[in-house]
Amino acid sequence: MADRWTVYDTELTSRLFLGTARYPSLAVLQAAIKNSGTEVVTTSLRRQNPAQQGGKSFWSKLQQLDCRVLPNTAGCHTAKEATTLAQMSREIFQTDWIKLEVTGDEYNLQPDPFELVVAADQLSKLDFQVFAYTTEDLVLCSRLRDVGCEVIMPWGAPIGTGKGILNQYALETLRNRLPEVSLVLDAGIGQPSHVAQAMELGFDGVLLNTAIATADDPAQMAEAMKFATFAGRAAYLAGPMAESGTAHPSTPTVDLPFWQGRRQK
Amino acid sequence: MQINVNGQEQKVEATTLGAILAELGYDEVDSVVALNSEFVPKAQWSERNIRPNDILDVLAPMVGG
Repeated sequence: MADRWTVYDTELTSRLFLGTARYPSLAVLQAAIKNSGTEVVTTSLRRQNPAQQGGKSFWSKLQQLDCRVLPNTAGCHTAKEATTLAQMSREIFQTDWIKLEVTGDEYNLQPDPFELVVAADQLSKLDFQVFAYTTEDLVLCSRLRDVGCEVIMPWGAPIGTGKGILNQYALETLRNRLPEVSLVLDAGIGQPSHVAQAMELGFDGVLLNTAIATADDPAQMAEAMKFATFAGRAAYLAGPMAESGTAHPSTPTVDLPFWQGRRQK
Repeated sequence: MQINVNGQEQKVEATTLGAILAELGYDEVDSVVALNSEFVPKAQWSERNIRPNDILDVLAPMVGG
């Protein structure tokens, strides 16, 4: 199914973004990336230890893959921290893309809506292309759009929980009210059915990490997530049937045998 | 002079950012730096003077979600 979409200035075919953390090995990560068919993987920056050469092996292996890099600002708590980390990411990863994360609560890693909007505004003015990780709040997402975010990434559930979509109504509302924004469901996905559900709602893509990385067989789960993305997207494009409160026979009732003798009970 | 690098107190002889990174053995190709929480582009490393008690964060690419 040729189903291209444009993310800022970049045309993509895959609608599945993959995180690169928590895999048992780099080899398994590479296999998962390959099986998922993804074109975009997320990365981070962390303090380097000269004795260990930090993530040198990770970075060199990632550069060999034919994927675009989406660096994140995970761990930042203020707009100032996020802006500095984004500038550092731009230099080393050579991309204007930034997955903006500003944490407001450590317990459930919930984004700080106030700092998030400030950071998104600052980064847009610095010509970054911001992918904003956010809660599913309509007003917050509207503000993010207003300051220049073309891609908004609401959570399905808190990061790493695998609980799936906790507030479908809010996500449907986002889709209906922000039709011009690319919506990517980020965080909380545990099963392929959650991916399909997001795509059926009309989301443009999904970003997931833990559900694949911590599966017994990450490479196989990556393939399952790819198929779920396809299935959900195809269903959305096909236009699902309307729900009904009562049963309707799918088999024709005209010329039904034995009709005459049946009694109403 | 004494400076803080990645959360550790360090004594260094060099006085410019680029020279300090080389003295401490950092891989300059895969590093990015913030000085006192401000980003310093690589093009400025050789000229940027470091003062006592400055705080450096030297970062490298890592996995992320």
